[in-house]
Amino acid sequence: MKKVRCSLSRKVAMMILLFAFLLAAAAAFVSYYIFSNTVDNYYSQVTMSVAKTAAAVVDKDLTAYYTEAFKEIYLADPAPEWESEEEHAAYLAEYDALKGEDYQRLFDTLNRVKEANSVLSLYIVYMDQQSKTCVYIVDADTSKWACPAGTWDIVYEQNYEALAHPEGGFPAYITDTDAFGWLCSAGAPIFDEGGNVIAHAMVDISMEAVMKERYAYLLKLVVLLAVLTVILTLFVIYWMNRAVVRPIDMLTFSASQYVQKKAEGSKEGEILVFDKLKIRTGDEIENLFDAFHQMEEDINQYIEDITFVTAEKERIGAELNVATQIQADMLPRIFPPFPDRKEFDIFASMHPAKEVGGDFYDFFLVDEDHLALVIADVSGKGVPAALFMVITKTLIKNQMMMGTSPKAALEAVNNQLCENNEAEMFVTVWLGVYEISTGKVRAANAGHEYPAIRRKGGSFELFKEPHGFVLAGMENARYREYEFELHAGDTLFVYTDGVPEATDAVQTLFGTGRMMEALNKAPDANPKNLIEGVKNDIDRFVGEAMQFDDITMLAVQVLDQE
Amino acid sequence: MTITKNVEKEVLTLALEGRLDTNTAPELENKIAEELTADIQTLILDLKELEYISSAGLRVLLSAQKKMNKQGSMVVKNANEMIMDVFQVTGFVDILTIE
Repeated sequence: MKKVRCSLSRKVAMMILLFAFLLAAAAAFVSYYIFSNTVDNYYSQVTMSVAKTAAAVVDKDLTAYYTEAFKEIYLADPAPEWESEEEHAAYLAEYDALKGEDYQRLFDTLNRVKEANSVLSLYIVYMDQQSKTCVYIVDADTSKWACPAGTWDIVYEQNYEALAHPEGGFPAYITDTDAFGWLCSAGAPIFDEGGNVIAHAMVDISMEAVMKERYAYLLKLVVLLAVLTVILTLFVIYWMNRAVVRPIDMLTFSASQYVQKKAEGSKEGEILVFDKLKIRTGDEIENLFDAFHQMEEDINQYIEDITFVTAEKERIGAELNVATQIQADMLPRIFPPFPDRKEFDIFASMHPAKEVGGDFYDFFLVDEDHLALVIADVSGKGVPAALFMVITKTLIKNQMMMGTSPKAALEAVNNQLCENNEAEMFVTVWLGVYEISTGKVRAANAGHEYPAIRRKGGSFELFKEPHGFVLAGMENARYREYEFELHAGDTLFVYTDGVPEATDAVQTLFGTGRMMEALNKAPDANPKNLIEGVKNDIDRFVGEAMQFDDITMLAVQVLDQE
Repeated sequence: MTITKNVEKEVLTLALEGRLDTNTAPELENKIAEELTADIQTLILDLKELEYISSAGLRVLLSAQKKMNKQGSMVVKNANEMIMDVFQVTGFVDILTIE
């Protein structure tokens, strides 16, 4: 099995962890955002309402009075710079000089509001549009940080809107400075009877405490979410492993085990790895397992079948080998077959296209003076043809051994073969009887190829004799008998259609023409050389092409007695 | 081998093209078994495009002839010279109606 680069369980765990982390982070962020927004809004509202309260409760006339008075001093020289503390004190003294008892009343009112709402600072300022500064009118502060009247400050750019439209006041805003820490600030306009803005009541509320709380909240949130995430993640990973990863791992392991055992060529017969597994997940994985299980059984069954078929094939092959041998043994193939007969020379050969063939040749002495010659070709090839050939050969020999004439023999054999010939096979036969003492040949042809005859000193020519119909084709068929003579030096050559119809790779037939040429190559060839010569020519012609039909030849030469 | 079928009433014509040998003979045998219904009176085998016939092919012709002897007639036509030679040699000229 290939080594797993990143296991399924690790992938699943990593994926779940990543998602859980992202989800927890998102939850923390959203929760914190909502929390801090709520706090900010709350503080902004409180600050603004304190500012409005202050603006409402202060004495308008007093405020207007002091504002007008201080304005006069300030606007004479807005945003002044001092070179020394003395100069600064002298400047502030100008303001102090204007303060009376009423000023204290104004201060007290503000201070009450400040104390009641526990704000960090509460003061009234006048804003100068020209110089973009504001000057303190009164600051409700008794500490050393108090800003005495006349203290001025710049207006931040973010508040220019309030400068342009003083009636809107300062909307609440939150700052974090080194000097004051977290502050929420707001300002409300103070109106006179006519609705004109006199000055602004400004409020600062410290948010230091609430900010600390906010960080504590965030920390708690993160810790809680982390713990929850870890617990849930562990649970989900455990569940995923149980429901998905483990079954798949089991399947993978079994499948690779199967492959491995197959590769090793397991000796223990059937390989059953999925049979031992039990996966009951009730989902697609169970289906997958069932499919694997079925496939294992199918493959085992298939192997069993194929083993059986192969054995059967081997058995048939072995039997066919024996059949080939038996068929070859049925034909006379010891040459010379009659060593003591000096009157003639005979040779024959048969090459089946398959293991066994439908062609046959035969020759035998009917008596001392008569040599029977047979060549035949059963329609088709292979085992059916071979079986039919055996019957035909036996029947013909039986007839001939009784001394029957070729014509009568063919007619008798034809009728015998026609009985129960359900397969509708047929056979072409050339049958001749050579009378050794006279040289006369009596022959009959049942649909077989023309014989070729070479007269002494001449060349082979086809002998176009009268033809009858094939054997086993039609009941009661009649055959004609004819005679010719063979004298010393003459040669008779008979063959089956496998010779002229031998076919090369491009379906060209060897043909009767090439056969005649091959026969006439060596004018003095004896039967053996003649047949081997023709066979060699056929082999050369056919080349690599598969042998298509059985090739059978028989030749007899009458020898000179001198 | 290609077999082209044509039926006109009770006349079935099969035109053969290519080689009729051991490999293709079963094809023709099946085709004849399939197409030769009882109402066919005449079976015409057109061999115009047939290049070669082996003994296995002759066997199919013979069995078709036997079948047609019972229900009508069979005609073989347009056989080329080589195939005519085969018919001659095997004696099929005596049992077939050749046009």
